[in-house]
Amino acid sequence: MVLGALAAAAALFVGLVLLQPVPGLTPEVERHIAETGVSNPVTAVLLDYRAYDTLMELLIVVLALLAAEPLAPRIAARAPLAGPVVVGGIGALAPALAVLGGYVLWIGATAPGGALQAAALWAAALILLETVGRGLVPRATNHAAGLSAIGVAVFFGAGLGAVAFTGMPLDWPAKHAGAIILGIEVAAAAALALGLAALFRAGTAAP
Amino acid sequence: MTPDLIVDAVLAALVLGLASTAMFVASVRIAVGAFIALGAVVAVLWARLGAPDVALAEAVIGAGLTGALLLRHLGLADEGEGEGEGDTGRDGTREDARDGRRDGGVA
Repeated sequence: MVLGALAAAAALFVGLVLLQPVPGLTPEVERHIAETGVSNPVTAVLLDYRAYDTLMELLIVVLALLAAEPLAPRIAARAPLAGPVVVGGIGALAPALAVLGGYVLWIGATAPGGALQAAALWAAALILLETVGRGLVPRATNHAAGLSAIGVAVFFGAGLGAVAFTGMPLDWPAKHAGAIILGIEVAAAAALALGLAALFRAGTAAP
Repeated sequence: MTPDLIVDAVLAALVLGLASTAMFVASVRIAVGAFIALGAVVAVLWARLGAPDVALAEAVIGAGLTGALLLRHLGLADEGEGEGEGDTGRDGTREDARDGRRDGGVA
């Protein structure tokens, strides 16, 4: 098996060396970036050119949450951690993570960052808070999934609403595209953070 | 050999080493640890390739989220073992983890 893996790695390496560079879609992305309201090409692709892709990915997290709940082992949640260091530490860390997540979300319009990265930071804060018994995620997973689905619905609704202005679903009117993308990213990041935090403790009953 | 090339060579060797450890090692605990470390190293590699967005996503998904979920369920499998056939090993081999998953499962 190890030899097979090494052979596969070697074959991939040779293939990569032999590969001819192709122009790709970078020029296309750059030509229309002014219409997207953001200057970070990755955000432009994820939230404008291929917004339907991101919408589906968001939906997958909610579906994963609904699927994980019945499949996860049923285990009683651990008693909350106590003690001044862990409670004080998490009490200080969680708000810092929340602010950092907001910054990463905001900066996503112009530099690397965005909803997924922000959601990961927020989910980490939610999970940390839960370990000291100050969790903000609803206990029932279907409630968490329902809240998470609100974020997906905001994205979906905005996508449908775009038809009225541009005639195409998920095609933002160029004038307000930046603001629309920011709003969708906030909703998506909140939904993702909630979904991921609930996914983390799926199957556990209240202590 | 320029310093850049040495750093890249070390990172590439780390990727191969960590990936094969995650796949072939008997202890599921070590496999999970290797997988998380692999995510972190791959994230650094993406950053070195000039793709900071991919690096961030790799760190978030590969090392962070997947790692957290794997660790979580490693813990659940251990607790499941305690309720099961008693001493089905605390050495944390892959088989033990699977048994634990079944014991603590939906049944």
